[in-house]
Amino acid sequence: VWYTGSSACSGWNYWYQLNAAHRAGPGIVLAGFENNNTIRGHYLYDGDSVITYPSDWGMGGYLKSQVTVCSWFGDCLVMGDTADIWFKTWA
Amino acid sequence: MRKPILLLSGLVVVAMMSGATRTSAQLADPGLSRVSAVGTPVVLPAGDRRTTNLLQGGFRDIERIAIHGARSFYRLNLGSGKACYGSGSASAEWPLGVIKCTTTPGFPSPERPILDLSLVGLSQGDNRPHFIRVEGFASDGVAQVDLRDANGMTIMRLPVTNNVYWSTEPSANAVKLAALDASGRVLTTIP
Repeated sequence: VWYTGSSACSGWNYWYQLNAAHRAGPGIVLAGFENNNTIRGHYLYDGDSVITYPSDWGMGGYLKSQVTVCSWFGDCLVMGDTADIWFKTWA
Repeated sequence: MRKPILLLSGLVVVAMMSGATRTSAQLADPGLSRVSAVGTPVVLPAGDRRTTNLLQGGFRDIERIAIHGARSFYRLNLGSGKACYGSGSASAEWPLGVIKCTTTPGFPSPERPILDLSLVGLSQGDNRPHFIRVEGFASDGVAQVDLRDANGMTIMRLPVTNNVYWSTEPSANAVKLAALDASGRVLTTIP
């Protein structure tokens, strides 16, 4: 986790599928994967769920699933926000 | 006699509130609650572990709505009028890259006129996430989707074709989306 407001949701692995659901919290989160210097993912609003595959992003190798909490104003920089996000990954 | 009067007053208030709700709904463009594009059935690769995962999740009726450039766009019907939407590489053996589902307010609706499937990312040194690839579904009432910079300035305007908008090479300054109707009114912004 190298970006302010981000939380890792798994350990490192060769993940090929991520399911995530935004159950409650701030209006929007960025859910996806990270490596040592890059985060890729999809915005989720409260009640949204996503199934995604990092191969579609040109992102392979050793990854961690992650979520970044964004503010209502569109920046993922606000500390102190929390969100209830459900994650499931397959390796 | 006093209690029936109070009860009647309560009913009037409820009726007025219901009327206000209906009026608001009637004012909304019905096209915002509709996706008219028709798709063709798609069969997922048999034996693929991702197919197994989707079947176990109840995804059986999948149709391709459109192909734009190197990307395909899908509707995944769940029955009872409910659907999720997805996209993926048009040339990949496994067709789906992302599937997104919504709950109340679900897409398509006046509250959710677009279902954005864009890939968002950031690298070390970036001060905020930006769009890597822009794509998604728009209801019939959406005419265009604008890409905007952090100051809200429009830097690219995307048409909506077959209920789909897309851009494979958005500017690195693109950090917001705005969906507009035919009159140019902003219907929603993301994020």
